[in-house]
Order: sequence, then structure tokens, then C-alpha cells
Amino acid sequence: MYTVLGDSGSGKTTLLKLIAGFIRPNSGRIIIKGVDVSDLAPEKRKVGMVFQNYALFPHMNVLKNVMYGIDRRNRDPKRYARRMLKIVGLGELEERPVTLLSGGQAQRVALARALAHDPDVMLLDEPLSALDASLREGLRRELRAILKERGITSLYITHDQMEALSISDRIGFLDRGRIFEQGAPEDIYWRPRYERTALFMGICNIFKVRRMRRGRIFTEIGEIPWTQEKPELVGIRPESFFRDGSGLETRITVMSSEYRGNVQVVFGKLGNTTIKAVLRSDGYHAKGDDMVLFFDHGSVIPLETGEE
Amino acid sequence: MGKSSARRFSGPLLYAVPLLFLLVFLAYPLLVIMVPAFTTSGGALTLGNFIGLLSDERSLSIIRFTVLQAMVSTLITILLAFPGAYLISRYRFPGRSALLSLTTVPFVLPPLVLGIGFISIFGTNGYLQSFLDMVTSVLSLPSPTVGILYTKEAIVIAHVFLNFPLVLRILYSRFNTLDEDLLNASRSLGAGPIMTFFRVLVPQMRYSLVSAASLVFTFCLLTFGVVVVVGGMANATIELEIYRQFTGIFDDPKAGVLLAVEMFIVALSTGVYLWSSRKKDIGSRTSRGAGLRLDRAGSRKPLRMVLIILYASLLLLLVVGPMAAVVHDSFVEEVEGEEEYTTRWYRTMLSRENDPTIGVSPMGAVLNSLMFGFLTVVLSVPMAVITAYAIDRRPFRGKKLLDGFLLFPLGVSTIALGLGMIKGFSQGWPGLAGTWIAVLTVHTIIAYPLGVRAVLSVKRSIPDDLVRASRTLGASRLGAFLSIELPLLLPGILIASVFAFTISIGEFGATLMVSSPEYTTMPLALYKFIAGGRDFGSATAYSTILMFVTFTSILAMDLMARKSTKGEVGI
Repeated sequence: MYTVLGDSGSGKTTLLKLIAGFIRPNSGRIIIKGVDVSDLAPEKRKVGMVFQNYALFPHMNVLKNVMYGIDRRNRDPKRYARRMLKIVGLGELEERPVTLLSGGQAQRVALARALAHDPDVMLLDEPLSALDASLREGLRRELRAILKERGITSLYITHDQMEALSISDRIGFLDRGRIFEQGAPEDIYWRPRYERTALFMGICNIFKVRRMRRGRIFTEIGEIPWTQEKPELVGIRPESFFRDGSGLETRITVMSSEYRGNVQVVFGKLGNTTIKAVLRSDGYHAKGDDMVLFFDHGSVIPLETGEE
Repeated sequence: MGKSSARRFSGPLLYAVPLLFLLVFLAYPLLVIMVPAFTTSGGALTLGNFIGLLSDERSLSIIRFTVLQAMVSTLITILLAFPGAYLISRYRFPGRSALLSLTTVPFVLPPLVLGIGFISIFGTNGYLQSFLDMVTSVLSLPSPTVGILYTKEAIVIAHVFLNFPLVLRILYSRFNTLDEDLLNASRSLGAGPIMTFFRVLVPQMRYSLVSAASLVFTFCLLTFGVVVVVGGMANATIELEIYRQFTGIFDDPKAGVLLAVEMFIVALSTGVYLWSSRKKDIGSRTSRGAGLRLDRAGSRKPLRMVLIILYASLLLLLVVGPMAAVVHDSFVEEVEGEEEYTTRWYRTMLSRENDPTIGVSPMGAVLNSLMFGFLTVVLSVPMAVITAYAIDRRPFRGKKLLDGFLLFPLGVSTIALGLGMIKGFSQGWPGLAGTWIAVLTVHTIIAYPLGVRAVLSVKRSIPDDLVRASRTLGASRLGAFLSIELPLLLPGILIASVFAFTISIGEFGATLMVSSPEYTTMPLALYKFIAGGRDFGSATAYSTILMFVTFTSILAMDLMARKSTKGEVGI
């Protein structure tokens, strides 16, 4: 399961349309399972697609929808369709008109339909974004389990970082039409390489490194001991700050403090920059207060801008 | 970004079909009529004919009259319909939805039938006369003679009859999308109901008013059947005058000049209509779609109740009145000065004997109409679907003009079309004039634009992803069309079919020009009964049958419209 993460306008949908065959590439080729499909019409490529708005055919019931893409050579399409429905857990709903399905049910039917087509590649275009948050988590797990079990290579598009982390084997970041970084979820999360990736992963405290001298780098947040090469930028997760501790510290002036139940989110001013810190919720900070934040030098992540 | 997959239906091919058809059977006939206006008898290009128009008092007065009657008709219709639309949209009362369905009627009722109904009511032996006679005899006063028929006023009144329900419907549907909060905000800021009405409500309606007015104006310019039946040949509009060129002296340049002037005016008013109907009035964007809140009528104000009853009656009178009059008359015969109920007229209709007045047997005319109706559907519906697909594509330079041309028949002079067909296709080419092909093509051209709109509005409600999904599941573009789009387009196709059918069986002007006696249709027979044979009875029987067929079709259309996701089909 390869997830493509990107903002709107980055080209995620275009990528899917290219692979599915709705758009022809200006240059370059598309190769699926060793076969060059760049000139093939969509119906000749063996891709399964799950759409954001399900795209179930409203004039057919559940079973007919699932049967639509089954290979003509299959001798018992009905049975196969029923099997697919069982896999997604909707065995009893085969007669139901699709207009009467709930969001979660509809998306499962869409999955069953695409699976019944026996695709080489599965394309999923933000399949969960139209659903309630509570539904998303459960369906997310099911999606991953089903696709993993059947061993189908899948391309998953989303803008939700958490979704991407939880279901992917690999994540790729798309910006203005190019994948500028990719890797396994843990690597991406702990050790992103580029500033844009870091921002995507929630690392919003990013500082320029002005210079490096004698094992220390000088940044807006202060001096940090550094043993590696001089990085362009460094980033610190909001969760890496603490109210007390030892080690490196920085002083901020509180701009706002928001209670979120399990954490307290504090925005503070430091010189010309803003720092976001996520702290334990048992403390209050009034606007204008000065406070000290502690962090460990191991939580400082080196980053590149990636501008060419 | 890559090129769009060539697996879409080819644009040029889609456009080619309707374009070719229209160029040959619409543009060419019209040009045949108009070209003499721009050339001298020697063949040179000239504007001399137009300059000559300026000193032709008769033509000028005809043009003036045409425009004037259209303006007056429009004004009266709007003034009558506006309060009515407001009342109906605002207040709930029993029979409200039935009243609303009545407004669909004039779309499909053959205008000629309305003309017959008009005569029924306003004629010298009509219901109005009988009513006045009765009232004045009770009051012992001398009875006035109703002399409305064959006057200029008759034309205006008939136009109001024809267009009142249409304007009511347009304004009503606009009232329904108004954001009530705007009115509430105005009241909360200190404006009373009257001030709110004029300063907030009416400005919200301006585009709908312009839209309705320009539409009615265009219709009133182009009507032929109603005008000739109700106003007589003396009160000539441009359409009538062009017709006269055919039956009387054949003054080529003059017909062309008049046609050019008419088309110019129609182009202006149609342009205004298209512009204003595209405007989304502010407020409809912010509206939650609930529209004006419906009050129970008469909850506190008896005046409101009275007004509603008044308007309901007016609507009933204008829509149902002529029809009821015709139906009643079709069962009545004057025997020795007394009126008797009879089925005589219907029995003659079943006769298969050739009736010299109309050129075929009465039954034959019915069969002709049905046949042409059916064939028009077969021809115009596929063309409407193709055109809808052509129009619903990404814009390119000149597309708007092209699409406008495809929908051009909506505003075309049917008389000129028929005349042009005859002139253009009688020499050299296989003589199409007088053949059933000519009638069929003329019907198709007139009927298909409305079908396009019906199909287009349904097509736009089909999500793009459905076709994409079916392609990923192995369907070719054509396969996707057949298995996914066509079933979903069915409501629109059915509505287009009903439109095509009813327009065809009710068409009069162009058919009059191009058909020959053995292809006489019901409206033609109707006209010949009145004009030639003074056989009013048969005319009313035919009208009743026409109405019956039309209404069954409307019923079917309403059921289809209800089945599709939108409740009403916009025109």
C-alpha cells in the first residue's frame, strides 16, 4: 500500500487519472506489472478504482453494481460477487438499492465492486474523506486488512497525515506534480528529510541555521550542540517541549494557551518567530507571561529546504 | 497536464449531426427568404430594400403593431401574474399543488386550440355573450354585443391567456428560492412590510421579471395560429404579412425585409432572455433553499384569503376557461335555434370519407397527426441527446455561438421556415415541398430544442465519476453510455419525447405551408373547418381530441419528472 500525501492542487487526482487512463501523459510511460499501458484505454487496463463519492450506479442494486466489472469469462459471476460482498462484510445487503446505503456501506460496496474486477492495481481516491471521523478509523483498518490479504498493490490518495501513517507500507509526498520524498512511515515520521515533509508530519517549529562553529549550531531558538554536518534548517516537534527538565532551554512570551483536555497547546513568541508547544494539561499560562521551555538536543531534526 | 483521453465521444462528430441537419433544413430555407431582401433583381448586393422600407407606410405600421401588441401583452401579463405568483408561493391553501400543475398546460397546449376556445368564449355566439344576455335580461337592460373578436384587443387578450400561466410559473419558482432572512433582516432594521416589499423583495426579482418579460415578448412576436384565428387577417403582425406573401402577391424582397427585421428584434429579446435567465439573483446563493415560509392562508387576514381566491379563479378562468368552452361546444349542436347535446361532431370524425374542406377524411387527419407525432419523436429525441452531449463539454472559442445556433429554432418564425422550405426545395432538388418529409423535418426542427434542454438538465445531474467508475470496471466509452448514462437519462428522454410529440401534433404555421392535402394534420383541419367551412362543431371536436392527447402526455411527463431527482423540469 503506497500512499500519496499532498495538498489540494499538488496533482494527486491527476496522478490517479493518468494511471487509470482518463488522461494521456505528455511524456513518460505508465507501466503496470511490466506492461506498458500508456496508450491503452481505461477499460483495457486492469485497474480497480474507489472514488471519494463512491460512484455507485444508482439505477442498480448492490449485487448488480458488484457484478458489473466481473470478467465475462467467469462462469458464475453472481457467486463471485457474493463472495466479494462477504469479504467486505455486506453479505445480506445484496438486494438493497444503492441509494439507500449509509456512507460506510456504500464505500464497502465500492470496494467489493472494484475487487470483483480482479485488478492488478487498486487506486483509492480519498475513499474515507466523505465519512464521519468515527467511521474512518474502523474502515481504514478493514481496507488495509482486505487489500493486504489479497495482496493487491494499492495506491492510496489522502491529505490526512494520520491516515497515511496508519495504513501505508510506504508514503510519498507530492508537491506541484513531483514526489519529493518517500519512505516507510516510521522513517518519514521520525526522520523526515525535507522541510515540506516535516510540515506535513506536524513539525511546525522550523528554524534556519545561521552558522556552525566548534560543534554548535546557531539558530533562532538558541545554540544547540551538533555533531553532524551543518543542516540548512532544524525542526522540533511541539511535543518535544517540556515545562521542566534539564538540557537545552528557550524563553518565550506566551501569546495564547489552549486547553484541549489531554494536552495544553501553547503558542509563544520568541524573537521574530512563533513556537508551538504541546504540554501536559496541568498548568496554565496567561497571555503575556514569560515561560521557559526545555527540550532535548536529540529531538532536534535536521532538514533541507529542497528548493532547487 | 496530459491530453484528455481520446476515449471521449468525439466533439466534432457530435456537433456535426445536429449542425448538418440545421444548416440544410433551417439555415438554408431562411436564407432563401432573406437573400432577396439584400439583393437587387440583377443579383447585386444592396440595402435598397431596407431603405425602401422606411417609406413603406404599410410595412412600417405592421412592424409597429407587432412590437406594440407584444409589449402591451407582456406588460399586462406581468402585472397580472406577479401578485398571483407571490400569493401562491407564500401561502398554503387547499388545491395549491393542483393549481401549480395547471401552469404546465400552455407549454403543450396547441395555441390553435386556445384560439378556438377564445372564439368559443368571446365570439358573437359565445359564452361571454350569453352571460351578458342573461345578466342584462335579468336587470332589464339592453344587451350589448360582444365585439371583441377580430380586433387588435383580441390579440392582446389571447396572448395574455396564453402566457399568464407561464409567467406565473417563472415568477413563482423564483419566489421559492428567495432567502426569507433577507426580508426578516429588513423588518428587524425598521422597515415595514410595504417598504420591505419594494426595497428588498422586488429588487430580488428583477432578473426573473426581465427573463419572464423577454420570453413572453418573444412568444408574442412569433405567434401565428392564435393571431390569425382570433384577430383575423386584417390585424396583421409580421408573421401574418409574410404568410400573405405566400397566399397572395408574392413580393420576394418585402417578405425578406420583414423577416430580417423580425429576426433582428427576436435576436435582441432572446439575447435579453438568455442573459437574464443566467443571472443568479443575490440571495438565492445565500439561501438555505427553504424559500419563503408558507403560512396557512387566512390565519389572520381575510383580505389575503379573498385575494387568493381571486387569483385562483383568474388562473382557472384563463387556463381552464377556453378548454372547458371548447369541450362543451363539441357536444352541442344548434338545432332550430335551440342547443342540443349531441355526439354528431365526433361521429363525423370517425368517418373515413374524404372531406373536401380539409382534403382528407376526418379520421385521416387524426392518423396523420399521430404518425407525424411519433416520427418526430423518433427523429428529434436522438438528435436532442447528441446535441446535449455536444453542448455539455468544455468551452472553446465560439462555442457559445455554436450552441446558440443549435438552439436557434426556439425563436424562429415558423411561417418563414415553411415558406423557405417550399421555395428552397421545390426546384432542382427532389421536390420536398408537399411531401411528408418536409412536414417531418419542420416538426423536428421546431420540437428538438426543448428536448435538448430537458435532456441537458438531467445529464448535468449525473456525476462524472459514474462514467469513470464504469470505465475502470472494463466498459468502453460506448458501453458506459449504454449501461450507465442512458438508463439515468431516461427521465429526460421521456420528457423530451413528450415535448416532441405534443409540439408536433399541435404545430400549425410551418405545417400549413409545407404540407399537401393528403398530409393534413389535425390543427390544419381545425383551421380549415373554421376558415373555409364554417364548421365550428367539427373544429371543437378536433380540439377536444387534441387536448385529450396532449393531457395524457402531460400526465406522463409529470410522473416522469417526479421520478427523477428534481421535482420540476425547468424550461
